[in-house]
Amino acid sequence: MKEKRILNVLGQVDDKYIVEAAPGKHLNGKTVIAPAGRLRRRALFAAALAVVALMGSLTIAMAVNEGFRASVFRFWGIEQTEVVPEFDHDAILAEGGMAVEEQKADIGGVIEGTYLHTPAASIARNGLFFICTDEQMLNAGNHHDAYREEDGTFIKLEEKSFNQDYTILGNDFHVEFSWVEHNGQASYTYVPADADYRKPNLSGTVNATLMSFSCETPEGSLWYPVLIDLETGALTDVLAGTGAENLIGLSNAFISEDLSQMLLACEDGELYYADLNSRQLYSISEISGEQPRSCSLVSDTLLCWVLEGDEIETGAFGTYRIWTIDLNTMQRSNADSAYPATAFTSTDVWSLSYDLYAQTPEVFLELGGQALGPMPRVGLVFLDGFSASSSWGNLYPGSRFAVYVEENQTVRVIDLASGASSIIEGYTWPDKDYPDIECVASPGGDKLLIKECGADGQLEAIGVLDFEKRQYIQFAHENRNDTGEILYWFDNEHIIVHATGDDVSDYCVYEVLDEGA
Amino acid sequence: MDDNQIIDLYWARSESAILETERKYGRYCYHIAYNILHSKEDSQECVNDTYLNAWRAMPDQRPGRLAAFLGKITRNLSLNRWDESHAKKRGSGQVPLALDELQACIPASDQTEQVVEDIVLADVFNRFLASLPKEKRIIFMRRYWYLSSISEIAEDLSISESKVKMSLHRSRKALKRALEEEGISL
Repeated sequence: MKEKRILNVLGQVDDKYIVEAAPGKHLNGKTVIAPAGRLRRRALFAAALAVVALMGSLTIAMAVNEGFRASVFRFWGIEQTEVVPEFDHDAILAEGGMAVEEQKADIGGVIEGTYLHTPAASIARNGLFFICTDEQMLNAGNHHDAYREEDGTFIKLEEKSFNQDYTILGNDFHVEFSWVEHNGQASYTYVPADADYRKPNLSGTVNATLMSFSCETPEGSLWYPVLIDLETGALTDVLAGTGAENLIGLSNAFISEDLSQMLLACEDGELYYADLNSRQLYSISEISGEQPRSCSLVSDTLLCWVLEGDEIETGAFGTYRIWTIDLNTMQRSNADSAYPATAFTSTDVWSLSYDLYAQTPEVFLELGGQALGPMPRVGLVFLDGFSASSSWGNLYPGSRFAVYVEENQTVRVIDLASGASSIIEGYTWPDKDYPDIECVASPGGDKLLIKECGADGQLEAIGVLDFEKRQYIQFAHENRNDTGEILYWFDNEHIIVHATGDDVSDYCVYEVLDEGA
Repeated sequence: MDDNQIIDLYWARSESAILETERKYGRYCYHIAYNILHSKEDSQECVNDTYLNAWRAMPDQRPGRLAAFLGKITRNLSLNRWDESHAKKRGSGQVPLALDELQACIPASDQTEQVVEDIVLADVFNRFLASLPKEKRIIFMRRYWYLSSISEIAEDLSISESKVKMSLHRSRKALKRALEEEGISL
């Protein structure tokens, strides 16, 4: 089998490529993490972690009745380019591997960036930095120390242990992990590699953490979400009596902050809404009269949509048809909205239709990114909801808003709940195609990160669209260090750039200094 | 423990070499094996066999990168075991999916092309990997060397699954073109 030969011979490639791509980072025997004792004796960890506090604190669930003001979105296009300085990683390692640069980035007087460094074996999520304390970092089974930033100092969080046994739907589970608390939410610091419960994130609050358990049963694969109080160990089967325990192939769940509503998704694409007060479970397909592809929960309204007319063979991206369901009456809206899809909202079509380039080059991009013909850019560039695919373990209700690019590249924000829309004044969609531009919703779905890369895949521009504050801030970014960068949501309020070096990780975090600049 | 120190233990025929290897690379090797075999028991057996093979190989070998050395052993053992189980029944894990995807890399047949030895093919692969941007190369290696799932790669690199798929799609096309330009037949 020829493809088997490729797989086998790939095993003989240069060792440097194997090590470069290894899951996590090898420390190569170097102890780059100072022992706890030395950390405590240090007078100051100048880890001024000024994360992107662009948005302040917002309520994630916005009432539909609030409406959508018929005004434009402001655009803050900062002309100054942020150039990440070159770092002396040897000096950083000599000082223990954790440091903050004194020189901050002043980006147009609007944004201040702070650069900090940690050992390479680290990750940043949920507003915290997790430093692997094992010699080797992998996806699971590692131990971490968790740190938060406070007044320019790293503060190590107290680690707590959890050890309980449960019986869920007749199946026994042993649950054991370590965790820390930050802003009322729990985060893992250690999970056994063979754990049968959802990784990598704990979702919800400390006293009402949503955990899902999975195992193989004679009837098939079991996946079931429950609430657990991490402090007492008490388990609450929130779905008991709703009939959800009988659903086959559950794969994802969302629970509202007040624990009154849940969304459930099955592997076959079926979506369900659970009213936890009345213990009623509703099939969204039955209410809608058709199976939605995805949905968003906005207070007492469900936004649902399907994709129609997408054809891989012709590269047609199709049209999204959107309707709403009033959760008070369980009635579907009479009129649907329809918007053309693009490569940004139909990435599967883009990927698969790529094969047809040879037949119809005027429609598809050439390998290497040289466009021989225009990719459809008029249409939705952002539409994101709850579905069977998990959002990396976070509770995600879907986004209330969509983003649409018009013929003249004007960008419009659509409130899917009301149908109203507003343009981002002064901003036009750049002449780039997917995936050189990507839109990533914040964990709460109320903000949008728009990242632009060059043809070489390097990050070029960073933008954050705040649906509530009705503003879009964007600045250019350049990094001359020979490291790969990734940009993502640090938590619902902040974004972070993580540059992965061999022994040191560089983090770049930003703070808006003055919105009225 | 430093890699050189671990290798020194092998050369000194000290049994603590296995202990230190397990401590530092046990989960790394298990991760590789599990991605292929999708069985805890089979994966652990392959990891144990890795230690045995390493014991036999050192001395005389003194690998420059111990992680890659051990990883290769584990990968080969796991793929061989997968072959055995696959002959008897349909296997699970990422191997069948990866093989399906790699079909796209097979160059179009041409009378002028030659079937070359593995060492020559490996050199082509090395030059192909060197030509890729870093992120694309890591995604490619994670998928076809480490046999990681698409979702795992996306999560590790904090990118979308669709971006991983797109990157792999482009890389497979590029590999196919590289093989065709070299006049290689598989």
